[in-house]
Amino acid sequence: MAHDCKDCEGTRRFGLTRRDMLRGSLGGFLGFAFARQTEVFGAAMPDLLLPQDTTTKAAKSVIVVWLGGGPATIDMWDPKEGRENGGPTKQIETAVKGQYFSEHLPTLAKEAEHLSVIRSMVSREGSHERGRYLLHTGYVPTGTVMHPSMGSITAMELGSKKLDLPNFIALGNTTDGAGFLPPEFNPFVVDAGGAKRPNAPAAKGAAAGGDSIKINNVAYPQGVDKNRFRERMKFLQEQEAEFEKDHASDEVTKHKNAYEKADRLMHTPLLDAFDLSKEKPELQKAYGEDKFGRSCLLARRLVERGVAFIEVSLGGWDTHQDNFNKVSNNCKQLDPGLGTLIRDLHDKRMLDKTLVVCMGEFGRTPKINGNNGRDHYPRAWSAMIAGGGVQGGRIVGSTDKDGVEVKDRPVTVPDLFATVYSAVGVDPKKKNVSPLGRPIALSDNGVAVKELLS
Amino acid sequence: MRHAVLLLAILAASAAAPAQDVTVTGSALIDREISRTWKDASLVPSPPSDDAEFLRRVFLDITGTLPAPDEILGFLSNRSPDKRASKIDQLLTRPEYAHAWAELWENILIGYDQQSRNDSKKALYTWLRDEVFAKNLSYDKMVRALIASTGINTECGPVNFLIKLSRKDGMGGISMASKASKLFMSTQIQCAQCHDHPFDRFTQDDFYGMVAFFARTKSKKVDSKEQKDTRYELFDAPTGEASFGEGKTKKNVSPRFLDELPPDKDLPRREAFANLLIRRENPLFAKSVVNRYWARFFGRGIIEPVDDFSNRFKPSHPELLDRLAADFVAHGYDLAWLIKAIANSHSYQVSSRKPENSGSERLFTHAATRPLTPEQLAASLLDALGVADGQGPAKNMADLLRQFRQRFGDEEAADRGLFAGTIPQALMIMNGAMPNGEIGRANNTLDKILKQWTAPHDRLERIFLSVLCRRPTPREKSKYLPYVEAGGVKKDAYEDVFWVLMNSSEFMFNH
Repeated sequence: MAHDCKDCEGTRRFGLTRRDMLRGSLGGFLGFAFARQTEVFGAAMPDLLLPQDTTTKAAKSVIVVWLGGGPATIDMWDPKEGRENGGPTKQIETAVKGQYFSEHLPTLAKEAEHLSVIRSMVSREGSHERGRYLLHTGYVPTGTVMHPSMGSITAMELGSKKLDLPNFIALGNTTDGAGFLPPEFNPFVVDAGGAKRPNAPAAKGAAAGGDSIKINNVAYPQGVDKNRFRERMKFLQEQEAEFEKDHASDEVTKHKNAYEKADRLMHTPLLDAFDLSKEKPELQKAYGEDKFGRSCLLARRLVERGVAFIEVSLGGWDTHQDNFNKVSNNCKQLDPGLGTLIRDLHDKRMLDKTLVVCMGEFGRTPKINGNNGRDHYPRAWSAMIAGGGVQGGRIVGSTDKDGVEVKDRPVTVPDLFATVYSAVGVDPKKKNVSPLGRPIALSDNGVAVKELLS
Repeated sequence: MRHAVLLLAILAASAAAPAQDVTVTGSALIDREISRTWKDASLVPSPPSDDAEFLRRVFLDITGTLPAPDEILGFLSNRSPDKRASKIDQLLTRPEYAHAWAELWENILIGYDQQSRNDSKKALYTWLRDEVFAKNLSYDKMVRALIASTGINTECGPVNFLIKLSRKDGMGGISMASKASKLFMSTQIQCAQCHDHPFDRFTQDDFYGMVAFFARTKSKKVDSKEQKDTRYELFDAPTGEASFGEGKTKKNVSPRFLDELPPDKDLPRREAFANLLIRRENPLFAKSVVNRYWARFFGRGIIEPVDDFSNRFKPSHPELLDRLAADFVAHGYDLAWLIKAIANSHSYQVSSRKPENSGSERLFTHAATRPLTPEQLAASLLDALGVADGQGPAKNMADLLRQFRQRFGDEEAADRGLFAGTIPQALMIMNGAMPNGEIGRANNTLDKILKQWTAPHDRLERIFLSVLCRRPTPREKSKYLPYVEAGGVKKDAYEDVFWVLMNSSEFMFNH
């Protein structure tokens, strides 16, 4: 049933209307009604009423740069120089005449023709937990269903089953996962902690080419070589076959599949993506030799190898105190990392097949608080979007002169998600079935920002 | 509203329906009802589990751990006809039982929220372990404490349940009322938050009547900014009402339970709510927990999912659930009694091997094969490897658990294993320093076996007992014995066998 109450699972309680049963797109759905949870897990339901966008301009991969804590976008993408709310942040002209970013984003300013900024993001979730959930899933948390994140949906829609690398890789912090989709669409979390910090002693004076980011547990255990590992796996397969004879179940099959995939991942040559020393030293330097810069470079190498979705995290944006120094410092990582990523993707002719999004859980108060900080502010903030499927050089919407309200063209989080899905050629209205049988659209009634789509 | 009354009345009537023979209770009741459905569906169940199969299952279900090899052998050679019943009695008195169920209920009540655990210094867990499960506090008293307590999170364990909810959204009782209804009555009232639903049982009046019980319940920080601790106090403000609508249509709603019972006005609101919730005439209260415990032992509820008793999800054995719930009430909400009734039933003790006609999971013809919960898996690994909690690179259980709990879907399904099949988990157990570095480490299980036993046959048997809790089959012996013998004096081959068993589905599932 067309039930859009945000706080409940709608059909879960009431069963389906007759109209639903008759709708072609829901054919066979009734059978799910009393089926076991696991049997309906992630059963994808293409909505036949809404043909998929088959634009050839669609991106094939998505990189999300996640600014955890809630970035002060007023000091980044939408500066208010000269106003009290603008604080000490200066603006600089970008490569697009008449467009200004803050002084903290000089590299990105040079790439302005390849990226667009939405200055009119509006949402209502002002707590970290709820904001993070909303900006990862496109849905307000309800407590009754765990929505799949953008990464999981992208991995499911664009990911290749044949790829030996995971289709959703998170570099740095853990993130929201597959929700009710099958566990294979959970993020594969790679701890990027091994990369050098900019001021770490080891990095000083060292030639470009820092440590590679390590992927955990893909090497044989100590003392085990390839032959011994194969011997073990052969025994394990026999053990599994014996158990499965009279204990067959979905879960046992999932366990077996995970081991097969883990084995393939351990041995794929694509793992060389993690060896950043193969990149030119100048390029490594341009990305930045901190954890974030190296993660951006790794993200590009993963896209080259066919990974559908990569999330790169950069934390430290919860600037209740000392906002301006903190934003300035954070941008010393963000700007070269993200700016070089866009430049590099463009140079390698990959930008038109890669969508890059930069966002956090909300913006920050335009009014500066007593600690020279800014607090949580979901009412008016900015997000960046660039690459395949979208236009560059655009500014969408605006805030008033003090950054307090969105002046025109408000864009909601579901709208942003609809834009992303449209840009990668996936219909935002497409539905997945929740474990309890409710069809849930990829985007929560969002409408893509048409003027951004290419 | 009328529907809500009707619903409770129907459920109450069915729970109190005169049975043909009220003398049949507990395990006998379970077996009679379960076998009747087998007969009706012309299904032949699996044969009874063998002793080793039973022992591992009942250990995992009751204590969340694996039986040690000597205990397995002792049990196998015990000829007493009631050895299973006495083992169940014994397990319920072990500290591992209180620990495992405290951990489980902690997850059900507050999820995996580490902050809440840290802030309260694990007071909720400690209370559940020491005051509820170690002392077998009756379930109605446990829930009354969770609903009606007032105090500081580090000192009063049960307040952490509502503190967590009040901190999460501060919506004037909405999440407290919703969660309490869901957890303790398997009733999802929150849909009526935004509107009366044309087909729903509950109106907005019903919903906000429930919310009103919690409208005055608040939590606040006790310590100042300078103090290191972040303690919270749960308290009730003198005023505060539940209301809905906007502008002219906005109205206040007085506390009123789902079946229209007004509360005892002389009592604080939460206490009045607790009384209405746990009263004998509220059949949903006992049914909900009986079904939840059933699901823990059988792998699925009589009503599935366990937190939604709406008519959307039909019970597989409605009469059994009603009567077992009534039986549970008659036994004073005694949770240990409930576990004994379930675990001593023949229905629980059937083998997990699927019967030849392939059986029916819904009708429980064979024991469910289900993934271990993160807690069971962490404990099983430490047990099998012989690593003491808090030692070596395992550091502590908390570390291991955090890794297993990562990306675990629904916290409220925390009492069920749902997380099999992720690549990082497979990689960790295949290659990770923990557990792999522990297989061959001095003084751990394998090292002790190799020192104590010299014959390959004995060593192999002890490895199987330690990891899979059973002896190797003849087939396995004929496969692994030549392998370890070819390995000579080196222990590599034994490590390989240990690794294989530890990575197998048989180890990672409860069955």
